[in-house]
Amino acid sequence: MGVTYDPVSDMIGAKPMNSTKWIYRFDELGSEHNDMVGKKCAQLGEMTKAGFNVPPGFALGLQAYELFMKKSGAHEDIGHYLAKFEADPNNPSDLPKYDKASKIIRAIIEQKEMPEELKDSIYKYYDELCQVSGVSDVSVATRSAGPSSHPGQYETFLHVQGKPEVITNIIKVWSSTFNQRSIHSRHLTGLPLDYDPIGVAVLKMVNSKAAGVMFTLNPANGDRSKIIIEGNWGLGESVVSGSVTPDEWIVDKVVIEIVKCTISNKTLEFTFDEGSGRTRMLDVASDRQSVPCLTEEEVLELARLGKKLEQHYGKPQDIEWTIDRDLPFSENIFLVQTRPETIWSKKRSGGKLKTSGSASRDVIDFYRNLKA
Amino acid sequence: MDPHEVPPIPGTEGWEEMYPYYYLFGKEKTEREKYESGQLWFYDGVHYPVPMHPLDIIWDDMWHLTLSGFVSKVFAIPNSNGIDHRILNGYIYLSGTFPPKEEEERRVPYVQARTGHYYEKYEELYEIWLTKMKAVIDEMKTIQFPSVLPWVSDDSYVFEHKGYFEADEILRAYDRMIELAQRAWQLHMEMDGLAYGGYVNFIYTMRDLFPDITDKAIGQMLTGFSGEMFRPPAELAKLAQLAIDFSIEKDMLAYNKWTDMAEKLQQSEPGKEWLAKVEEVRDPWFEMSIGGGWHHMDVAWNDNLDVPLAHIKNYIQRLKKGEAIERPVKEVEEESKRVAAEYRSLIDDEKDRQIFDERLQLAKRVSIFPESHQFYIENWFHVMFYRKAKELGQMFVSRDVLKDKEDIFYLNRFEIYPILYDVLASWCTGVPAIAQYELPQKIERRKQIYTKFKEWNPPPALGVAPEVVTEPNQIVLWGVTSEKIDMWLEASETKAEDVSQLKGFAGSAGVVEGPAHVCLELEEIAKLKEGDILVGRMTAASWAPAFNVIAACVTDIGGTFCHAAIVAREYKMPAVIGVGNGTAVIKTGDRLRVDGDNGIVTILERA
Repeated sequence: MGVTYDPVSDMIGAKPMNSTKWIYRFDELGSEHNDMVGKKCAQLGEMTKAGFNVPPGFALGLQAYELFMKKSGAHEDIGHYLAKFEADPNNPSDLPKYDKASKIIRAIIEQKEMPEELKDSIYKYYDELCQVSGVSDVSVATRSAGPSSHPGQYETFLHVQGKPEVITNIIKVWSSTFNQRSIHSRHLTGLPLDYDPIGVAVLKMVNSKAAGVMFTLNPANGDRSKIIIEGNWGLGESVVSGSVTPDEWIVDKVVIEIVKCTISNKTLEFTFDEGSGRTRMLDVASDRQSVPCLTEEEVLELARLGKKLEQHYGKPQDIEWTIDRDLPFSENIFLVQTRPETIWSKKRSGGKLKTSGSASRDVIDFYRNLKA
Repeated sequence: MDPHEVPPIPGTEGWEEMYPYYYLFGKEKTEREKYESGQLWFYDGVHYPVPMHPLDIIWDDMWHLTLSGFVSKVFAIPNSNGIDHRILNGYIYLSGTFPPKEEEERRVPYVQARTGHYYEKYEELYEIWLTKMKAVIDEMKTIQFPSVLPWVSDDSYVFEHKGYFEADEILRAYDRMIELAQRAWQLHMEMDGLAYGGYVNFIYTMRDLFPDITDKAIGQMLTGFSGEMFRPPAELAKLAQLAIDFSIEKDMLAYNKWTDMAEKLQQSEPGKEWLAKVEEVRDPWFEMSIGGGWHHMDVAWNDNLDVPLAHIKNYIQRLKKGEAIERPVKEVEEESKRVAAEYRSLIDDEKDRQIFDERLQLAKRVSIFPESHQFYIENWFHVMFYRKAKELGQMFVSRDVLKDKEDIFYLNRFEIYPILYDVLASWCTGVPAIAQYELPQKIERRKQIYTKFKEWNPPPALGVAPEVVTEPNQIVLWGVTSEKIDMWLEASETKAEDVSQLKGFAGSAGVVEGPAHVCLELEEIAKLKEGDILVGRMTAASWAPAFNVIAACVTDIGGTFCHAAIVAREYKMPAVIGVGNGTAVIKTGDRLRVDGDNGIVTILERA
């Protein structure tokens, strides 16, 4: 059957040149590594190298996933389980079967130990990150990073602290390739069920005052001279998930000036809860609800960064950013993700102007049409 | 408020006789009054920061005729008949007028042929225009009135067999002076409307391409500084530099009066040389008005040299501090090019890009006129007119019909004509002029009325708001948009002391806090201190040197392309334009925050 996967033969056959390296600092990566470490990791690297303020961190390549699955024995166990798995992805009443499979497979993976050689390297990179950050047990986010043309939607874990937790959460990111949605969509598209290697970005957690997204064009009308910034208090998840109405700024990209600003009543924020030691959605104190979550200089600086990113990539970008609570202005602005804007960039709207053929005739037509 | 229902100012009864009858709002229930009630009338503070003296209304009357004429008759613009004018308590109100729908089509072939012809040859026609305008100025220079009438006619009338005597020349001089004023304003409108057409069309083009684009960004693309309006301040800057080069700047800083300073400079060789340099440039570059040029108080620098001295001293102080006083022309021009190139690069469609190029090019081609004609007309010609009028005033004083030569400005141009006959006949017959018995009292009364006018705050708008404002010149020059009108009509109903925030156009970027200095009269400009925020009904081109001192600028009237906004952008300081009633609400000494990014003025603390 073509749908099963042999990690060993794949490793030997595919990329012999890099087959031994599976962990990288961000500054070792660039857009060219999209397929090796996943898009998110590769773009964090690309931005780091280009001089943008990106939180420090490291990335585990797709190969790390493969090594883990093979050496821990997870792949074999999953194979045994899937051998007996039968379900029809086109039949909605079979969905609970995928849910059950997900729970079982994730349990298999999450019970496995990280193989020693992998663990040692991850520790080494984490130690280095702690050193760079000047904190022991620095708090990190472990974020999933699918390669190009990847269908799944995987998981991310925030405020992870200390070596054992880092290891646990990297494994949890990997296991999220077996969440119900992913198994189902792989089945539906005929991809291997037992295999979906992704990268993992481990990056320093920003102590986030506010965070959100930025588009380097106006998604409402495709106007490329505008940058749209949306933000809320706390971490960016509340904005990305669409669970709150964020503050919105429209900035002119050419002259870098705010042309429109809508401050919303922000009642919830996604933030680190000291009490439970977890990140969760919390109420925003009433006196902060209608306060803009960004200062004007932060808005303008973000827009400048957005403009630079667009110039760097040569096309409109869809960006995630976060503002640190403690660092001084401009050092406090971090970019945590960028990807090409897809909707308007594909659309060609055609001409917006009409002309009679001569500029002076147009002036007259303009006068005439004004009142009509 | 309906213009007919504005309560009269007590003590000004009979003020209407000071102005031409056709300038008054109707008093009867006639068709005219019905028309007036249905229009929107907005106060023209852009041109007239103070009430009109009867003679000064001449300029307004001229462009009342000539703007409307060039729009509806000469160029046959299909959907506009120009602008109607009225006066209320001394303040000018304007209202756009439109032809009947069926006439629009009829005008189309005419407008296309006529404006097409002008646009095609704009540069060439501008050169010709300049020759025509200079001829008007040269002829105006020859107009003169004797300060005293002779006891017997000059020999030349007899021995050259002229067949007329002095009275003939005086009457003709007055006629000709009015004719030339009229001609100057014909010439003004020959090129002006088309220039603004080119501008406005480009503005709307940019709005079609980039819906939320700011007027300020569009303004940056059109910036260019080559016209004559930029020469006078540049000459002052050069004189300041020269004073430092000659090491005579201390002698200058010590004086506030030009005459005192000149006396001191005459004592040294470099001083004399500097004064000689002034003589070289003052004709015509000191023919710049100390105000907007629209009122007779706005005399030339040449008539009040203390004003350019104050500007020169200011420049010297800044140069001493190591600041650059030259306008950052190169920087501004490069930024203008960058902005245009960047917007261009964001236009996806190739045909759109081509149209953008053509329209930007046209707007830039025609910009020579807006940047230069003001020097020739509103400044040079107007200040000469005021000088000639004062000569005539002096002649009237010598015949005891006026107490002061400046009193002539309390008479409108139609009233002067009979007085001339009265005076000239009286000179010949030896019988006292009739005017001698009644004119001085009449002038006294008018002065009282004028003082009351000055204390009154004209409402920014009267009448009814149209559903949408579509007249582009009104939008661009006077800042009359539907949104503003609603705000203005509302503002006239709120008490001044209850206002803590004013909204206007974001004229120039940046946020600044500082003390307000309300400048309604020209003398206030000289009192501005470093860091003050200038609050005025509008600003005049000749106020430009004040922009070296102030930190920000707020005006009651104006759009994004009015003088204050253009100059503020050029000096890179915040400006909020067209707040409606800033000079009524803000008092000198109030602490303000001027937010030029969002067009908001906040009164932080009352003085």
